Amino acid sequence: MGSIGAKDVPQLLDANGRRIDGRGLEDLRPLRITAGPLQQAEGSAFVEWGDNKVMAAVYGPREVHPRHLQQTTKAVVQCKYNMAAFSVDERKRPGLDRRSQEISKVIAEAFESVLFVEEYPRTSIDIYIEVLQANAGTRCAGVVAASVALADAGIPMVDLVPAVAVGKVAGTIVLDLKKEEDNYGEADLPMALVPRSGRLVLLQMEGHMTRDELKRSLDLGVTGCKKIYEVQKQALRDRYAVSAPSAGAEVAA
Amino acid sequence: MSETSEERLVLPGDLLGTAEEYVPGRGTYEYNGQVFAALMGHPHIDTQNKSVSVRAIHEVPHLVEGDLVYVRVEEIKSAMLVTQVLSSARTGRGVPGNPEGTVHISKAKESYVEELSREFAIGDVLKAEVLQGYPVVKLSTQGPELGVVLGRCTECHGILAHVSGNQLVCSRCGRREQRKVSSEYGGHKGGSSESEAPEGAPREREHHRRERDGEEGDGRHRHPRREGGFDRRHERGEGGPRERPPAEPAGEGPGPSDLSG
Repeated sequence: MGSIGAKDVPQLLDANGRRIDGRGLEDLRPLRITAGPLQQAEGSAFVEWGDNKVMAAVYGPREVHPRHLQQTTKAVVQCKYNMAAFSVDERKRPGLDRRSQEISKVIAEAFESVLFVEEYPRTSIDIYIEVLQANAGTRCAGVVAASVALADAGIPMVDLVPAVAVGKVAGTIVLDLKKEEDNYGEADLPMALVPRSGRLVLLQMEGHMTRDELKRSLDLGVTGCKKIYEVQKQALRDRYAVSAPSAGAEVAA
Repeated sequence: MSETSEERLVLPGDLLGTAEEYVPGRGTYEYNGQVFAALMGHPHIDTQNKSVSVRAIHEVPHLVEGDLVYVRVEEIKSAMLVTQVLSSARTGRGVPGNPEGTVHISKAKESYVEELSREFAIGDVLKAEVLQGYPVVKLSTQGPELGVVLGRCTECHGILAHVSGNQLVCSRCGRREQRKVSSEYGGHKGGSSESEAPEGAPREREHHRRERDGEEGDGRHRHPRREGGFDRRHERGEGGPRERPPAEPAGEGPGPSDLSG
């Protein structure tokens, strides 16, 4: 890690502190969230975030399969994060790999602490995250999509969960890494936040940072998450504030 | 006195009030002395009991009196039908935990029932009304639209087709059977006998449409999805004694996965 030959490293920050795609250090990539695009799922969301395109679908609470995973006191939260073969430049070999298993696990654990799982014992709440197009930060995009999908499904939860990655690029702390920054930068720090309580439910790190940089990164990440939180709320409002009273009209048309 | 504010949409995490103002009700939770929404929906304030709850837009079904549900008969006792509650008939969404529901012989039909096994069979899917949701689920099948919506032949397990009134006929062996038939018999996407999640009606987002054209009796105007359900069942060879259609033309050479290599 970090020992890639300097010759093919792109210039990630210019003299004016602009990033490779022209963003400032603390700018997010453009984010658009669509709530409820899927009919068969109980809740769903589609997130377009920079060049990421991520779909999330939620089912349940429903019967647990396989049966032995069932818990008598609470619902189990199962997550499947999957990248499409065409989501990256070089064809990704389809199916489970260590990376997707790890991401599925950390996302499931993040949501388990946010959902009121005790309300539905002996059931399973299933989250499916499909990455259609990847450009760094897909686990965060997955969390953002899944939390909107869970709210859409009407599963009781403490709060929506925004997520974002902070990283270190050319010696500088920046918000929301894109692919080149992730590949050639020095550190990547994805996190997911419960804004209501300020609790972090997902935090991972790759690369190196000093203690002070980590502290600043966390602060920057929390600020970023709050912006994302507003977009998530707006997505749900756009979908339902309008359609709730006029559902009949929509059908008749 | 109570009121729901239809204009206000709350999302999980939205502040509803303080714990001194309201008792947290359904779809809410208390945190640090404040009451927050746990669901997306419209806040409902019960001024009598000083409680606040959220009426969810999409809700996980919880059974209350008056709800209509789809259930499957598991056991027939002398005075009671024991069923498994599958899904809400209104939204088509599976009821978490598939609780047990009972229909007492006195609530099975409008008229007197001599023997429950003459009106129902194990494995039948019924549409039923909830008389009591808690602590145990009690159901009724009194009413024209309530009763068996899908039955199987007790002899050969073929699917029963509706003849008239309470008469059904097996589509495979021609056996005639009698049930407490619902007016919606066969009109919904029936359950495969495996306990597959939401059997029953289409999902909530479609249910307005369904209410409009779903009332026309036995399928002159069938919903495309429901039709799909029937087709699939035929493909699995449960539709009759015919030969099963070949799934794949044999000897087609390399499968689709080889195309990429």
